[in-house]
Amino acid sequence: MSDLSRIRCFSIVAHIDHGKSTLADRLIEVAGTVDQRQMRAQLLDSMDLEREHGITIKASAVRLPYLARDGQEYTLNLIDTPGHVDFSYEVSRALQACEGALLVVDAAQGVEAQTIANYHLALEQGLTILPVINKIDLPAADVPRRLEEIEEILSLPADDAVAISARAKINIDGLLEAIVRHLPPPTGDPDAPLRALIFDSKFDPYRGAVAYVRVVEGTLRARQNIRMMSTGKSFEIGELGVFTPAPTPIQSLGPGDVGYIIANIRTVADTRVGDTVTDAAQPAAEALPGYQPAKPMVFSGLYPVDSNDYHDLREALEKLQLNDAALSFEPETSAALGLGFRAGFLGLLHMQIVQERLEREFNIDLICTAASVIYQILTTDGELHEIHNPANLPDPQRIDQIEEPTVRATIMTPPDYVGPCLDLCQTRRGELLTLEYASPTRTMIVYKLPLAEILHDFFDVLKSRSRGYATLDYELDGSQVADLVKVDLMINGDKVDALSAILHRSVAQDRGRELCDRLRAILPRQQFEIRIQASIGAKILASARVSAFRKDVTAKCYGGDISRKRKLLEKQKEGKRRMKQIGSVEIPQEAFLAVLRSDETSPAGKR
Amino acid sequence: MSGLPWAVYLHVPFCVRRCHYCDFATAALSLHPAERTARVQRWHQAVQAELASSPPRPASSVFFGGGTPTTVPAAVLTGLLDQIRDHGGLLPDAEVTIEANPTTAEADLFGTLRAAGFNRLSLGVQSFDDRLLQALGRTHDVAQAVRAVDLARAAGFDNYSLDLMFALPGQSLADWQRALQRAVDLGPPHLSLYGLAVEAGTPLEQLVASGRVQLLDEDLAADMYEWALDWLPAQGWEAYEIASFARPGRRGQHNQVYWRNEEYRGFGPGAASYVARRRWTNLAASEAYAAAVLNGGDPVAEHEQRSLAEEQRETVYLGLRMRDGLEVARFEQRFGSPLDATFAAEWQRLQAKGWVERTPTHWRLTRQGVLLSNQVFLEFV
Repeated sequence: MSDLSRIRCFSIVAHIDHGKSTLADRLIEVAGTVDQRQMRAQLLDSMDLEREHGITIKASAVRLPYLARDGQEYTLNLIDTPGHVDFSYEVSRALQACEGALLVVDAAQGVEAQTIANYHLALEQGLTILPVINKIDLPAADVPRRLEEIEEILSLPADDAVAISARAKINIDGLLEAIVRHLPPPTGDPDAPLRALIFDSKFDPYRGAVAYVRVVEGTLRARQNIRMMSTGKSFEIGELGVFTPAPTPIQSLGPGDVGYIIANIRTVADTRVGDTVTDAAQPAAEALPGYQPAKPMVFSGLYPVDSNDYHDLREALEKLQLNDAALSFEPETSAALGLGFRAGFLGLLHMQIVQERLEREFNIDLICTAASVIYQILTTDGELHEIHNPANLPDPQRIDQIEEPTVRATIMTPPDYVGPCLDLCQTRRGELLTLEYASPTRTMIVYKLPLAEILHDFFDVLKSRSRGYATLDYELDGSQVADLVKVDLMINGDKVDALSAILHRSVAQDRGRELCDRLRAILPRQQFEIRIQASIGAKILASARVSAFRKDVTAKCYGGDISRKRKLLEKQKEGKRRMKQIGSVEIPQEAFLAVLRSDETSPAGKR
Repeated sequence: MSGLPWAVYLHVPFCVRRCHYCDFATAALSLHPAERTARVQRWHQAVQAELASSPPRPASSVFFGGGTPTTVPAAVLTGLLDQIRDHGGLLPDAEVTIEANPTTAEADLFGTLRAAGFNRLSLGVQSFDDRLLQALGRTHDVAQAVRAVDLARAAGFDNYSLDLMFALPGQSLADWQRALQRAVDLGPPHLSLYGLAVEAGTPLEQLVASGRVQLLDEDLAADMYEWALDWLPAQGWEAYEIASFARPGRRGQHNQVYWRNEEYRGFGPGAASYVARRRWTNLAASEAYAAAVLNGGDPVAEHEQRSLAEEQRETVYLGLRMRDGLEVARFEQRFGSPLDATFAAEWQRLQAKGWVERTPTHWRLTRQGVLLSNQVFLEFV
């Protein structure tokens, strides 16, 4: 058996863009396991979409052999974590698979909101945290100031902090030594009943679900019959392996080892993140702590522009679900949009990724309704209802009270922008919890905010009001009773259920006005006048009109170039096809998303 | 089909300068004179070669368009017309049109052109407001335009057409009404009226995008067009096509070939042809076109073979551009299938919207159908 004292399991956590992925690349390169041809930039990310969004959605794990200065060879297991608040549960499971974490702070930018959030996640898992100041080669780097911030804001002793530049390859060796010296080795009995934590899973179209595991106790062996403790389902391991970083089959994994299991598992629903793998014949008595089934927090209606694509959309969602256990969906019917699905997501980013993949990978023209949260409705008959879709809100007379989910949002900003940040939170119905001048350059603002108020553009507006300086992190934090009403939109007298929005009563009038104006800017003129109205129940809040277009003529013949003229007409026809016909009015896709956007960030508002 | 008449188009891609709104194939604007001459020569040789290699069919009409055809030497133009006449022949009553800018310099050529057999002039007057002409990037002013019309008539062009544009930036309805009145006062037998359109890749597109040019309100543009549709017929004009207006008996022949979806052959860069249900367009860049032809290659940039069904649909929506509309008997004679039944669903939808009407002999656009003609045509693409 391998000597546990020569294993280290650790993650890298950081605020976005502080250099986590570059550091991972560098550790892999310096530890010498990847030749240059294999080395792609940011090797741990795999999907195109992840690259575009600049984040890592799915964690990976790499085993690095490291010959330390004490002459011993160590096994370093680097476990990557997702970098977005939507995936905080996944982050926590990846951290659970570690004994230590590198907390990376940008030498120029300092401690930011996600630095704090990730630090707290790592603390909750009881990890030993090694501060790393990255990008020390930048002209604006200020290492002493960063060390102060770490001590003052995080109350984390910075004596062991390592200053490096991952990009310029400065002091990577020093960091590797510090990992060996300061992070604790794993413990665990190789002969105990097997308990291995699934901290990530991916779907491979040829091999099925691949579970990424950290063995805590006992031993995993090739061909072993295993059982998933949350579902009780059993599988025979087809391939057991480690990433070096190429997947490499191996005969067994003991405590402290990190690797993967392929076992002819057809869906990632059977390799749930946080679940415990045990031996089917001699199961452990208790699962590892902390498992939670994925809970969607944000919902959106997904409708095909062309109703003939409904079955394609269902198939596409089913395929996505194979590699995304957090995605849920059920059929939904809209009077305006026809047959579609109400899909649940972990958060906004997760939603955008799914929507983009449906359009890009499956070529489905999609109408996505504005994102909504879960409302708990107590009706006058004493019944409790969970509403995922604003259109389903009961009549106001039947509602006793409405509860909406809230978040605890942490904003880090330079002191100059405290005013604008507070102002934004106030207009979003926020309740100030703390305001702390954490360091001369960093003010920490903590607010309780309704989740619905930060769904659409909160982050964009925060960025624009703070000239890009403020950073945000949030966690779900209970719910509150609120005076909410449903605002409906009618187009030529027909209620368009997919445009309904749940808003606070105090802003309903103003937002109703905005919605009408925004729709007026978006709707193309048609052969007849279009009347747009916003209402609460029968009460009209605001209205707007789009006058009929009167002329659509192409005079010139293009010197007989009929083909060209026809292609222009075909393009015009294609544009019409991508719109949704509601009653006799054609509505472009963007109308459905524009609903809850504020004027500061909406394209319509900039017209 | 060889031996049957077709319409002939010849593209002269050269201009003194490019107008801000233009997206036609034009070339060699600001070159050194020697290089410019060399390019005109290469183009000339290539067009001669393309003409010579085409089937010798008689021309029912000829149209020299551009660019600005009158920027090349008159001898080149008359020589090309001679070649067309010698190669496939010219029907006795054939309309032979040439486009010209109404500048005095060009007007000097009118006598030569008329004597060589050109019998119709298309003058790009565009506007009767010097301020607007400048804004469009035109090279002439109003006084020159008026003088050019006089010179054209003096040279023996009793058949000529004026191009006018409306919906110009800063133009008012009254401006437009005055412009049209002035155009009519010059006594032309034919007018072509175009609303300014922003084409992709033109300087105008950039001017609009950057906010330096403000396009006219759509409703005002519609008012201008409708005013012309009402006023000109009241003055005895026939609004015989969406953009074309003629004194009785003076309709243009050449463009009607396009609208009837009949055969035509285009020579020169960017020229379009339609023969035996095949549509093709030549390479638009003059040098590339010339190189292809002179090296014995194919100057075609794009081509497509249309099916019988596609020919029928194109015949319908092109025919609807004409005020008389689409003659039912003529369609049935050409295709052997009933026009009403073949497009029963389309006619029904369009009639329900009030955009088309069936006369005893024709399908044609209503006034609203004329205004929304692209919407009508969408039914047939």
